[in-house]
Amino acid sequence: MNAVRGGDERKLALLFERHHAKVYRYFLRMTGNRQWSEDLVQEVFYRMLKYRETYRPEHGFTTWMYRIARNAHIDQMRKRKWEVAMEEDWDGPARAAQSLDDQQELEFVRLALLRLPPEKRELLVLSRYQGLKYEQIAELLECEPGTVKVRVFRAMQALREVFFELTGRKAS
Amino acid sequence: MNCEQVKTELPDFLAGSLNPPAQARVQDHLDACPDCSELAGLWDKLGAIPDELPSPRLRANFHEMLARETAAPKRAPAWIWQAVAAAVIAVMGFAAGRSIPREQSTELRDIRDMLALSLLQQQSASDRLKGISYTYQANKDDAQIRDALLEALNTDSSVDVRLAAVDALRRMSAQQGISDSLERPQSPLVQIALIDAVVELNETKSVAVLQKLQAASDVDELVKQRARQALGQLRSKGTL
Repeated sequence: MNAVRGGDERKLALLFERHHAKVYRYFLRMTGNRQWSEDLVQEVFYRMLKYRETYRPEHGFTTWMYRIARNAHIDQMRKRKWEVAMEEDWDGPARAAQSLDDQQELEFVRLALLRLPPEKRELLVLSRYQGLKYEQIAELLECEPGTVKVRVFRAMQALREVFFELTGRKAS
Repeated sequence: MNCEQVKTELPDFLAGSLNPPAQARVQDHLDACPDCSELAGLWDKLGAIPDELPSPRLRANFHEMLARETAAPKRAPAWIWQAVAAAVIAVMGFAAGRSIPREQSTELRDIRDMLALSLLQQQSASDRLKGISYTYQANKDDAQIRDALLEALNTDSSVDVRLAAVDALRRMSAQQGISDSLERPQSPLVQIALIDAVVELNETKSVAVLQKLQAASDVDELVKQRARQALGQLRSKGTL
């Protein structure tokens, strides 16, 4: 990113190759829609180029990238509020090795994740899937790492509630 | 340890970032508390949801955006090159009607090379494709043309142009350039064309890259398959 900021914009292609799949999965888990997710990835890399001056190496590339991604997502949600909701089409490809029961169970977990309020879903997506450390999430959300951990715990509790609602099971 | 204490420890436990004694303390609590252990189970299930990749369209759109945003504004307008093309075609037509002496034919080739190189710099992809087709009349060992084609292969925003560049370089037997390009991030379509070229040219230096491609986690499945197949082909050709 330093090279891009220094004027070698074509180096952005390297960053794209390295990170686009990860950013795509972040959006897919946040929106549940493939087309939106691809549009948002494109928007993130466009903003990286446009706002390259705002990149500060001392704050780390990952945090900067996710800050752009979050803002792009928030802007998109604002815009889409006035449009007819697009259907979720992320149907979670099955793994051949999974039994039908396991597949069904995972399907409920996936649906439960999509039904969580965005701020709770985001915490789980960032910590469970994107591989961000709690300190990095704290920097991104501008709070203390301890607060992030408590919020992750609450998000897990909320996920369990939705999961039980979907499966008709009762909490133990 | 009770549920309240676990609240701040569980996320670290799940992330595997606790020290061994603390990890064991949380594990003891989980063994005794079905409520918290259910949360840990859900965390595992979240991790078991399979990942997926975006469509190839995303990469094409990105490169289009990058080319648009970084396009040099100082290129000559297309009409100038169209006029040059018209003039060259007229000269070629005239020359075709006569038997061309050797010096004149070299001169003609120089003009064609110049035209090809100029067209490769154009903003429209169809002009650049035209430029590539002109290179077919160039000498197979023309270094300037080869470099221009390599640049198109490695930096052009259009996949069509990059694919055409692979074909042209294959004709020029530019093993080294093709093999180097295979190491760069490319669209899967171009990667497959490059692998085909490597096999055709018997480029043994690419073996390491092919092995890397077939083992990489972020490479398209079809590309991996093709790389595997290519290694087999090179082996059966006796090059390995």
